[in-house]
Amino acid sequence: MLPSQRDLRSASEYPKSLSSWLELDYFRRPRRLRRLRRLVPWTVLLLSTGLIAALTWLPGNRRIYQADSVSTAHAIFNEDCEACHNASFGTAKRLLRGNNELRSVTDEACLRCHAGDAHHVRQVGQSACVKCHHEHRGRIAMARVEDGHCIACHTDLTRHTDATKPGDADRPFRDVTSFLGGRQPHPRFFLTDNPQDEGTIRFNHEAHMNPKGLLVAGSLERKQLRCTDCHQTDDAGRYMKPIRYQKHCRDCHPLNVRVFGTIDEIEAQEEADRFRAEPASHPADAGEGLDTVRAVLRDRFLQFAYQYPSVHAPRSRTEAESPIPGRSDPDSGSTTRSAADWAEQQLRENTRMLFDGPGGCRYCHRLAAPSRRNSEADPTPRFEPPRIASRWFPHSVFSHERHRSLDCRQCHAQATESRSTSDVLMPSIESCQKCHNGTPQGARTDCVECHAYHAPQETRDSPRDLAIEDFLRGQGVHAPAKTPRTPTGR
Amino acid sequence: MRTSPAHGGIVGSRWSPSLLIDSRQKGWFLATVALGLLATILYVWYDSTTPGGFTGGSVIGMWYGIVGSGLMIYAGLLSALRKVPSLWWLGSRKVWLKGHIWLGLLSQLVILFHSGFHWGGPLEQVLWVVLTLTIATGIFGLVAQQFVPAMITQRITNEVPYEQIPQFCAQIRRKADALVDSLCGPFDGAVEPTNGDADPGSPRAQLRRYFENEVRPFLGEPYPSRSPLTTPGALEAELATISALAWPSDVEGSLWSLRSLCDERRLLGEQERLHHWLHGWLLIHIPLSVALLVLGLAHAVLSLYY
Repeated sequence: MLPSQRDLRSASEYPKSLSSWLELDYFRRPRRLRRLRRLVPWTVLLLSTGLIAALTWLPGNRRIYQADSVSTAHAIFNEDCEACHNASFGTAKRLLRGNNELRSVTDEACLRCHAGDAHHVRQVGQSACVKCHHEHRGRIAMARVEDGHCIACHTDLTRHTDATKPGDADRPFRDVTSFLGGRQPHPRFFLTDNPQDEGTIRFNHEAHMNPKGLLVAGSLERKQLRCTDCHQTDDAGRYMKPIRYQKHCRDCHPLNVRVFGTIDEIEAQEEADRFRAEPASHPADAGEGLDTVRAVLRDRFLQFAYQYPSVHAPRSRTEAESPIPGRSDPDSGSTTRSAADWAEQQLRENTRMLFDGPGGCRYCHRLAAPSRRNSEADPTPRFEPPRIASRWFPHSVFSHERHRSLDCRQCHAQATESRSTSDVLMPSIESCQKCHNGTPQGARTDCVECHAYHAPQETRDSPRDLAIEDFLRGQGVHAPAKTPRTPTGR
Repeated sequence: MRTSPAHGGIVGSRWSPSLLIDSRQKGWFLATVALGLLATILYVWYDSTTPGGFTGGSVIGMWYGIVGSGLMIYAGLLSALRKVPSLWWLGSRKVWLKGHIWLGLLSQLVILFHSGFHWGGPLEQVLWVVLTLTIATGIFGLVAQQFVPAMITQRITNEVPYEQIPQFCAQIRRKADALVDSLCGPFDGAVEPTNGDADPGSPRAQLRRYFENEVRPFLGEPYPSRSPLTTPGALEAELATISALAWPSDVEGSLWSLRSLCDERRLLGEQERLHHWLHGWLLIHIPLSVALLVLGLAHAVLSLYY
């Protein structure tokens, strides 16, 4: 009590009366602090509720509810939650049933636009798309999933493999927990321990990589080859395009052909020189063979003969008396030959040179086994198909373009010393680990850096006939069921 | 307790506050630490064994959210319990206050685990800010409740009900008016003498001028915190000067009384200031808690739907 409120005259410590110094109804008139304490919470309650209601019901505000923006590829669905979230209260069901597999985004929503086949024909069970591909994590690539999703099965493949199903059971898969170190590190590459090259083309890398260079056909110049003269990446910059004779070999290894016999006509002689300058064609793809080579060459000879009839006109006595040594003359006894006969004779001489001669097909191609050869009636030799591998590591993905700064020999170190076709010049895992080393300065080491879960893109059957409106709403075709991938897919 | 009006009723700086957080909180403290450790261990285990790590959308992540929300709601119910005394059977107010403090702190940790240490989107970020501010203001309030009451007890020798301070100020001013009127005569509303015979330099005129210009506003409400009279000693010096003037009679007693009234007003002002420190944080803490519950509800509903 304040001293001034005491009754000084009575010398008492007590006030004169309670009502004389206290307002008995003071609670009816709360002070500002108390008034604010009552007012502000209600104001905040109303404002926050109104704000949430407005943001929920007014269009264009869905982003405030998103944990983060959707990935770049799905940016068009940023304001259309139902495009992917097609199972209402899926999260609530997950909670109530205690089942992490229940999602508000079902596989059906993903498969409308994406063909996501199963990982492996022998895998046990199939997981939902969103179990590995997490959205709302910003502008990141959803395909770059964490190692944990892979390791969940690959740390114990026996338990996650259905051994009763057919597949690449002969392939010695091993359990893996990490790329580097750990309890079960990534094994050595299969090719390192089992170097097998089924290619039949005879090729000597060392000779072609001669630092002194190689003689160029038809000139005295030498050319020093670089790896990229023959090995060029595909348009995506990933893998090497196949080696083509026409593009990579012909300049140095032409399939020379010529017009045999004596040509008196000067113009025909000049044309014969041009004919010789243009090598014979080479089968361009697997559908073509020696017959194609012969057919093209026959056409060229026929054209020549029609253009210059003098070459198959009656021969002079000198020529008739001096046939080509060792060759039977189909027109012996006759003094005239048709253009076809002449062309056929020229073809025989040239194919003998090409197929059996030292600079012909046998220079690179291996003769087929005797059982595959032709009969006596058709003496045309048969060669083994080249069987040049287009992908050496079919279970991984790689981009040569991303590694373009490196000298090829840093990874393909054996290339300059290889003399035999059977040499496998693929890098070992130790070569990769020099850069992908798990240090802050090193390249990444996560699983998806090299491996893709789904089949290669070219084997998938994504819908390609969507209207723009359907695409923008994420309403693609009816979602196909996930199908296990056959082992031949990779 | 000895009072010293010259120092605003404050006696030295030695005081022993009665702590709100003391050994009686040991059980709650240990329980909170144990629950926090349990939540941490569970989080670390789940995060390390789950592909992709811990997420708030997983079943266990949602349970963390539910527990965290429950703790926050429990903490918020303290306010409701105060307004509904019939709910006493739910536990004493002391128990609820302890739960409010410790479980409220635990809720921050649990919600942190629920988020998987991610800030989330705009709504979640706002929730984080609101939750953190709520906890921060709560901690500030806890510290204030720990020390300020003891400071009031020691500094304010004559504590009065806060709500009655305006009433007391009015009474003090009436007493001061009566005192000055007894010395200077009835106040006619003019600070300077209007009567031609009156001397503006007379003691009465000087006292009246000083009282009307400085003392009387100081005694009013609200408390003029920038008045020179808030500084102890300033009034005494001025009154000593006035007292030394040629007064016809002894005015020492009356001026002493005037000084006492000013001391009382200074104490009331100090009490107001400390009261604001003691309870002002609730102006932020409670609205933030309300916003937290509303935004948290919106977050929960939308998260469960999508």
